[in-house]
Amino acid sequence: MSATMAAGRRSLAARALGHPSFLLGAAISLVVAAMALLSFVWTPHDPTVLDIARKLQPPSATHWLGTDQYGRDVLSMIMHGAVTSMAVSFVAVGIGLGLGVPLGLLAAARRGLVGEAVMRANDFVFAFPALIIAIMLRDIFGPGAINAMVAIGIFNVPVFARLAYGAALPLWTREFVMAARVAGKGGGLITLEHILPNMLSLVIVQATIQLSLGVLAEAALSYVGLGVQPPAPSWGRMLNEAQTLMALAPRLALVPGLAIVVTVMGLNLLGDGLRDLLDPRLARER
Amino acid sequence: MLVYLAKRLASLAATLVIASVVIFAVMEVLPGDPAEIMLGTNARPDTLAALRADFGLDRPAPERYAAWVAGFVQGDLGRSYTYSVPVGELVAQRLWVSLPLAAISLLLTVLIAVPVGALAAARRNGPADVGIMAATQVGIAVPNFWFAMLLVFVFAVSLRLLPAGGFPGWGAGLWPAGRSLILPAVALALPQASILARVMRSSLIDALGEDYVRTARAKGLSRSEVVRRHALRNALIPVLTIMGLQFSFLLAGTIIIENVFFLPGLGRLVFQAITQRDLIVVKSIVMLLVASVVIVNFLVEVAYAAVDPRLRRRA
Amino acid sequence: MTMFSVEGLDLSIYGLPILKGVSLSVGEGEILGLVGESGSGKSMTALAAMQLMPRGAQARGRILLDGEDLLSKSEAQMCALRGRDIGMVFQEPMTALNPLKTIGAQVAECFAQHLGARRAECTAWAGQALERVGLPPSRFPLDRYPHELSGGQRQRVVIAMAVALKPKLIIADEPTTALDVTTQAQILELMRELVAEEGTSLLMITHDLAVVAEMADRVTVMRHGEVVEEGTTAAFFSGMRHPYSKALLEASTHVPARRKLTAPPILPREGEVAPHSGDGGGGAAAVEGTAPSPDPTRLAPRGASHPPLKGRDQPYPSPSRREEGPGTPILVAQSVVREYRGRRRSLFKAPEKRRAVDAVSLAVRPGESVGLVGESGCGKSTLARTLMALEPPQGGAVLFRGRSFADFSAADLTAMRRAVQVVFQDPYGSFDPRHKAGRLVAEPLHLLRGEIDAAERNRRIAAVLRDVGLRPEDADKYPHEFSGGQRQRLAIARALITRPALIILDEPVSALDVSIRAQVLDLLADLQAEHGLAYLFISHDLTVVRAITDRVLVMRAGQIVEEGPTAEVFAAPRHAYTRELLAASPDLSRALAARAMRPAGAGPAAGEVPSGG
Repeated sequence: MSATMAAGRRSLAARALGHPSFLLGAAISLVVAAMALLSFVWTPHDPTVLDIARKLQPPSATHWLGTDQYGRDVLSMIMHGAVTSMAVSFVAVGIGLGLGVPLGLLAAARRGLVGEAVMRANDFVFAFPALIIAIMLRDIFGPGAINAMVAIGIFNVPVFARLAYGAALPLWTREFVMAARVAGKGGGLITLEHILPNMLSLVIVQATIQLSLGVLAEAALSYVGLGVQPPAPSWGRMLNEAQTLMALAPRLALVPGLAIVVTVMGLNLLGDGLRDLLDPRLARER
Repeated sequence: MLVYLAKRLASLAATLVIASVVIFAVMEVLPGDPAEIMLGTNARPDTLAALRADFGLDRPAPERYAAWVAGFVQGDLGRSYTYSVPVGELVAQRLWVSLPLAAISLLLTVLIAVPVGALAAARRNGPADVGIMAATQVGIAVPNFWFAMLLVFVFAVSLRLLPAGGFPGWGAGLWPAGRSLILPAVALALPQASILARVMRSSLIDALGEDYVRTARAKGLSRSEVVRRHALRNALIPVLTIMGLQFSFLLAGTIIIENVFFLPGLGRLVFQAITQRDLIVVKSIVMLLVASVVIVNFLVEVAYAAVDPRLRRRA
Repeated sequence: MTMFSVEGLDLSIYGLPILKGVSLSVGEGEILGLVGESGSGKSMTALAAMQLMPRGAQARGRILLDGEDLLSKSEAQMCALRGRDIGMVFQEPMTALNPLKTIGAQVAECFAQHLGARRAECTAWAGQALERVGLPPSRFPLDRYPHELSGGQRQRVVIAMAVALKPKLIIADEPTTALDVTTQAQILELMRELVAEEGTSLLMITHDLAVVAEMADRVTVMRHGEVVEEGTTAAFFSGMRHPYSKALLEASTHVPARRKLTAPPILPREGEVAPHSGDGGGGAAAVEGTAPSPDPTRLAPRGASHPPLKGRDQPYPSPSRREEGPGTPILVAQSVVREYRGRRRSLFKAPEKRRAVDAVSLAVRPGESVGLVGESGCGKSTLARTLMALEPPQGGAVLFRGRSFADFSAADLTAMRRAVQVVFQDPYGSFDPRHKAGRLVAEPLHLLRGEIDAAERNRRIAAVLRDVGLRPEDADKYPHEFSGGQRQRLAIARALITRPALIILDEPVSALDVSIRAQVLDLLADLQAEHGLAYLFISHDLTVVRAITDRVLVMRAGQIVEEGPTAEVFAAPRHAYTRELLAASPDLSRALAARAMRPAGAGPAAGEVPSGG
């Protein structure tokens, strides 16, 4: 039993290589990330240049994915859209992680009034869907990437706080934590040495899932005009612009939609794979 | 049970009060003067002042907050800056589109997710399970508004089976009105159902691993009898939790989907209000939406107690 | 006549062999005790008989019930047979019942399933079945839910379901392991009655030889998936042949050799008192009067200024009792109260308070070993946490070398923690799985930070590892690379590293198999002699407490009901609860003695010659 666990622990990399959904998810995520990074230095065309003469061209050697109704190169827009998508969801997850995890850890370490207050505040924020927050904040930040990041980020805070709280609370009753207290260690030190490391894998898995939800949310906000504004390309806005042309050029709606689906699926598969590979319950208690 | 309900109701009320303060405060710090927007920037100062007085915009913030809340509780949501009609009437009209849409899609979500998830769990690792899991993996990744566009393209534009958008009003009859809600409801329901089906599957698998399932098997129940009589109800408890959480996604989804289908619901209203700086409308709708999320989560907790006797206590 | 038999059963799970040629048989109306430690394959044998094996399991051989081979039956045939011809009782009553269904409905289901009777009839039968197991519907209405019953009551419901249709065979898999001793005795009694009444055969799976001695007509011992010995109970205990059986018996009755203390016999004979209580001198006084009054602490003046911690030689404030123990107490509890807020019953009343620890007083002196015995939920672990300053008392005080925790500065707390360390029950839960053994063992050195350098730290790690029988090289391993017993050694090493005066042991051997348990108890006894340690040994297991303590306190519902020298309390318990506890706890010698008294022929298999291992 312990021998198999030891083997399992050592061969994490080997198990990752044998995990098809993890590999697929990681590959897709890497491709999207690489595409986004590449767009900083190179895109086939400038995605913001309008060229009405070349509008609605089908895919060709010069325009691999064709052009839109303003003659912009669709592939270039998709590549830049990946940057928007990734930037918004990464910052939003960062906000959620940065605020939520410490809050959840604090609530678990200090239960009592502090814990209660933190968790009540969390429940409260949870009542505001990201879209509502975006609507409320629109005039403070103005419609744009910042608004989307903040709105999705605020929405992420209680997600991570609840996760951290829920994971930390049972850890605090574990005997190894009591042993650390008997060893004279305080709440802060125990949180750093024992609580956080033991829930890190859960946090990582949740972060991937929130990343994929962030991609979806960013697309939705951009679609209704609460996200990035023209001329910055965004998958959501591309869909908005393609909507009236569905009958004429369905390609314009298909391409950004598929980009979203593939990216979100990649991140979800990555998250599921990480969960299988890192889940402390599977790794330890079984 | 009564004590529990009383406690939950008190915290529900507290949440709503805090929410109203937050919403009011956030909307207050917004730049832009509604009076100016309504009359244009070159309106005469005395006209502007008269309009502000008319809408009560010249009174101090706490007073306006009190008036807003008092009105809200009585169902008087104030008067729209742009439409100059009572917000209550506007909202009520639109609610008759949004509410049925949300209800139908919630119903669809559950009707799809529970059997599909249960089937996947019962046939764990079999071809049905693998297929369902792959389908839900895609379903989760599909943005509902894009899915809506595809549905319009297939069923409205190509096949001409259903309307591409618009809403004839309930006055036009149950079928013509209901018909125009089918595609939006399906677009909303499928991605949500994908999530819920996965929850259903894993929670049923967990339930099937419990000791009481083994006890029931030792009594002579077959595999499927155990699922039906013992595991299913236990598995529904986590599903209920997720349904409560999904409601807020559903609301956000409704607002967006209404824009795809040009449905005159709350979603359209709120976006029109935003562009027209009709703050009182935005404020009231936001409050309404937040209140409904809070109330639905309260109802979910009550439903828990109905399902789980451990939360119910003998009087 | 043989009712049930297993013949040459081989079982593998995904190719990994679990059972190797297991054969056993249960006669009609006979009770067979199937004994083995964890991993011996005894539960898997039962699941194979029910055809409820885990995924990937492959069974070969024959399992015969009343002449019919169960392995050749289809799933549908097995469904018709389970519950009707074989009933099963499981180990964990807390989770064995569906939390969302009433007990009446769950019992009635047995009848509905097999007899196809109408609902009203099934419900009436369910009432009768529950009545038979001691849950009459007048006191336990059928519409009760499992969470409204105690563990023992839930186990009765499970038994009601198992016996409902008067099966030919009942399989009970560790049916009382999760229960307290008093409940265990009642459940065993109930099962014995039920099978005797109906002439049902019983396959009783257990790790506890005492339970076997009390219950079984015949015994089969398993180890590593194989049967190593079998025979009638009397013959088994009088002349076991296999070395493993002997080791098992030795471990079950093991008493560690302790300095100053001759091992108390399993059954203390009249007039025999452990020598230590003699030189302690206060034994008789301690049990004076019916109400136990650990008065040394009670007499201590409240709020009196206490001597500073360094004044170890200050006289204890209660000179009248001074001579009782061999020194100033390390730790003293003075009517400690620990309350939890209970449920709020009404909107208008304050929530009730539940006293987990109710005015408990005790003292532990240097070098002494104090036992604290009680059933689950009696508050002993809460008391332990309070004594370790992990939770504050709501009433009374805990004193370390005469100073109350309440007056502690940070430095005082550190001094206390250095002197009072702890070993927990769960050998899996007490280590952070992400740290190496060396770091884990050295964790309490946090209390000595600034005082010792890295070299000293490593020297101490190596020393304590050697002390507990591990190697210094083990410091580089992760906790999962150790076995359960080794982990418990590691936990002891961690407690030793600050060179404490007192170690609080909270159920330190309860999670271990008997053979490992004996080794750990030996180690604890050795360490005590070597380092002059004091122990506060908390356990629900009377046998273990009797083996290793000088003084014992019996705790029930938050209160100490009896206190005195261990040998005396066990020989002549004064409080009714202690007597009940002693009578209920399975005792091998007593069971064998009772068995010898039983008239010949009482058990169907009595007097038979063991068929050999």
